[in-house]
Amino acid sequence: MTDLADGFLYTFGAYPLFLITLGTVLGITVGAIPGLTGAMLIALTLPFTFYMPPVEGICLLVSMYVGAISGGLITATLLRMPGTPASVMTTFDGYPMARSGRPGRALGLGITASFVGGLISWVFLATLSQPLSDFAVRFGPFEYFTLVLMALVLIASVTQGSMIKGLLSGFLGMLVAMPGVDPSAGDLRLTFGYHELDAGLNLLPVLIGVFAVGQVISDIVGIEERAEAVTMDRRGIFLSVRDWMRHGLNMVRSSLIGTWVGILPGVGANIGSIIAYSGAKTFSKHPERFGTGSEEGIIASESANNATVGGALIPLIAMGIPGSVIDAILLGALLIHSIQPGPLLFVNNPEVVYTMIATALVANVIMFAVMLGAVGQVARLRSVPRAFLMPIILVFCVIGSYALGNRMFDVWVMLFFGVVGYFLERSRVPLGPFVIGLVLAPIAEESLRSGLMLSAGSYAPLVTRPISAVFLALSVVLLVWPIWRHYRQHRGARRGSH
Amino acid sequence: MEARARPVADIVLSMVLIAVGLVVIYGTLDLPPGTFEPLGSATIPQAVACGMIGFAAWTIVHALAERRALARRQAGAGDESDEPAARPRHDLALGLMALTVVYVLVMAMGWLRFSLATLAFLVISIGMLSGFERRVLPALAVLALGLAFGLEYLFTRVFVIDLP
Amino acid sequence: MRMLSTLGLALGALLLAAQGPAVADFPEKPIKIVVPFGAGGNTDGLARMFQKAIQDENLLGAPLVIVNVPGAGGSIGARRVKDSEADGYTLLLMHIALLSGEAAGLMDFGYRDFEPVAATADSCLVTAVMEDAPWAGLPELLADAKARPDAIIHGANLGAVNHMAGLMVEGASPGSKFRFVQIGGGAANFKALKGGHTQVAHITLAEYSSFRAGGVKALAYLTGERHPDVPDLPTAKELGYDLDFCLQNWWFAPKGTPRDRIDRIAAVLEKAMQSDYVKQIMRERMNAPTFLGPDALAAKLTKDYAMIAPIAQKAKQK
Repeated sequence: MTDLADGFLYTFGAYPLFLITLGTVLGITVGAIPGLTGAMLIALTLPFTFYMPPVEGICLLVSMYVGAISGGLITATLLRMPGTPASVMTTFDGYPMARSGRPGRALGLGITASFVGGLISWVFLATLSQPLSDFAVRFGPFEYFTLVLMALVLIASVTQGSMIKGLLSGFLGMLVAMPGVDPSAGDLRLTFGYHELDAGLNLLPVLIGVFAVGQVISDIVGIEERAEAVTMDRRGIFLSVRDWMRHGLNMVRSSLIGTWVGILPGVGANIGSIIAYSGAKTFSKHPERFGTGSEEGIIASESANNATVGGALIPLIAMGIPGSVIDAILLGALLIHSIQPGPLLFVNNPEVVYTMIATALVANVIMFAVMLGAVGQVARLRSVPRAFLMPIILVFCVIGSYALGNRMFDVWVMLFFGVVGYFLERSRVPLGPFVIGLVLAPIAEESLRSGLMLSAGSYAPLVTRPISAVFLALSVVLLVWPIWRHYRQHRGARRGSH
Repeated sequence: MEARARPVADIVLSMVLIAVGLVVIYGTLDLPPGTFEPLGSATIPQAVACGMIGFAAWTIVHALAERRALARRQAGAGDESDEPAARPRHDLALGLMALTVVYVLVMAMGWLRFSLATLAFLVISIGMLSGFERRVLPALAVLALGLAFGLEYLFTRVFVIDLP
Repeated sequence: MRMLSTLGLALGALLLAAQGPAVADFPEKPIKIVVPFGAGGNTDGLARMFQKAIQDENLLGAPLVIVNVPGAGGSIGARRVKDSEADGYTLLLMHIALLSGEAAGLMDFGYRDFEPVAATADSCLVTAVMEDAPWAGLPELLADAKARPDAIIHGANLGAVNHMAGLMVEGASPGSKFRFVQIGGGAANFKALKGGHTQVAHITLAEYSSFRAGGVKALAYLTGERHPDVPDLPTAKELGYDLDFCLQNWWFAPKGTPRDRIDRIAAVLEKAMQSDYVKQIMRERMNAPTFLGPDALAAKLTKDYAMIAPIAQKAKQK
């Protein structure tokens, strides 16, 4: 505990505090710009940290991580373009609320939820990282598969409007993830001899295209629509006691889901927010409000995606296993300073561990203060003329897609999926299921096939392994429950109309 | 406009998706069967494609039924008055996307470096979208110059990436 | 007259400029190092270490720019370099995946499409199990794999280096057979071992040293000489297996790059290897400070390809 106190003491030094503030603000900015992501910022900053002492480098990188995942909610709420993929679910309710004249409230809810999510996962990071990661390694391929299956089934529950179109969208998303080197045996498939496709359609260009570019196109089509009057209403930015009472449970539940999903290596922040959002909808008294500006939806999505940050640092610190793409880069930063992450990190380099833990909290607090302070200015983003905003966003999308792998191919993929996204949206095919399918299909495929390799082709462990059996049972319940509710509502509605 | 069902669009979209699904199935036919486990690399894309084709077909059936219902309703009620909403500017959207494609192409081919291509792209596209109003031109010039050269400096000097 | 001579001088200068950079002027702009893997990985770290050393000691006169082009087991980045101009300004940093990718048919090109420049650093793999595993050493493990073929679970990234290593090890004792399972890289394999999902894996010595405290035990070091940092870990050769599985980092230039430029870069890399910074990092990462020039590397590539090709073929079968 004294080590942790030392860690905090260190971060309160003028220079470290400056680095953390800088990192958080840069992270928020990059996170808020559609097309640019936190992973990109951190990868680009990595070379600078070679010239810093390791603890300073860690301060900078970790605070960027915290900032980036929070910044995404700004554009998700105001422009319906998720600044980072983890904020996709926030667009569903944040944007309708902002459109209905309450952008301040929507941002305030998102920011507060982000803060709470960060805080709760931090508590686990600081106190339980060892036992939690010991438990997380027990998740083998079958557990991953059933967990992912459960999230895939949630497609049915996040779908607004036509259920068939939601499922259609989910399958299309899965299909987009198929080309390239297959995630299991490493065979090339569906490349049709075109070598740029060998690495498949990368997740980020597709997401940037579907969400940011697709939205740019429909905003331009509707450029002559009367822009809604932007009334900057400061009411509701800060949560009242009643708000806390009403949303507290949802915040805690979503943060716990986010933390746990973060701990599982390779699952990711998007999935944390998807599961939490669907969970909130399932438990909500007003599931019908989801997708139309539900406060619960914003809270679930944002508290969960921030909670994954603390969660993903847990296996990194305790075992040297990176929980996310960004963690893998952090690991590289440690390695370059010849710090071996792993179980010995606490023994050999306690200062690094405790600085990392302390930074995660300090950056979270700074993020909260900076973002709440900037809500007024930021909300004006909606009054920038579209004629200016849209081309600039396109430039950032081009840079962001290119910088991922230094390839023009990714830029073309991004533009192509922009058009796809526009047409899907026009045909009222919901995009949420598309993301879920796209993100989860490769994990589902790899884990199922790995599991079958382990079991020599037997599917039995799916039900004989206890954790896997529980997830499987939950999947069935989650599949049947919304369909049953849908059916009952329909019948109720029909009877009511007679 | 938005509230009315568009069964024809749904049918077209579903047909396209069915075609994509068939291409995927065709493309996986010559993949080897699994060596380490029974599924192999073809099974899952095929299953996903079949699922998608199934739902697309279902969408078509649904749309056809809707179309019939619509036709019946319109025959009875006559033409509904379309309220004069904002005119959708498909021309501008198409123009912007075409400009973006040219912008990326110019950089991909190495004809122009990033800063100049971005400058040209921003000036032309913002100009086009705002109808070249004289009022906005100074702001536009400053913005385009600043962004084009600022970003190039940022990404090639500060963060070293390999911009075209 | 005066004007004429000035004009002549100017013309001469122009002509000189048009002749293109003379050798002495190489390099006159930054050299791109394509790392065909993601930022933060092992190869990326090595590239950045050289970048820093070369810049700090001003060995080259121009900076190195690291370009990460990840995807498809490194083939996307490798192809980029193969197709780029052979002027010495674009280099590839890769390892044995270039050979195994070609042999397994994942790439339709290979090491012959490049000019070898240099090999730097060497890190050999270890056979790793958990501490509570029943096998005292590699011979016991292989004997068990022979007695119970296809029962001992070996985690790997199928088709990649750690899979090849496993195949080579089982091949050293005819009749032994592991059951290979797709798990991933070093960290993923540690997680799978610790969670009891797999029983054997091949990881680098540096990974072993960081996971050792988590309960990982090494059975053999897959080369001829013991490593000074882990003196009690027997080598495969001592145990009677003719195994040598090391990851060298290879620098390549596109085919047709002028030899004098290749020599210049090789010389700079060799000098960078001697810097205290690189020496220290190599020691900490448990890499051997091997250095091979263009010709030695060319010979090594031919030899390694002959060794890896049959294994890569085998990797495609069960």
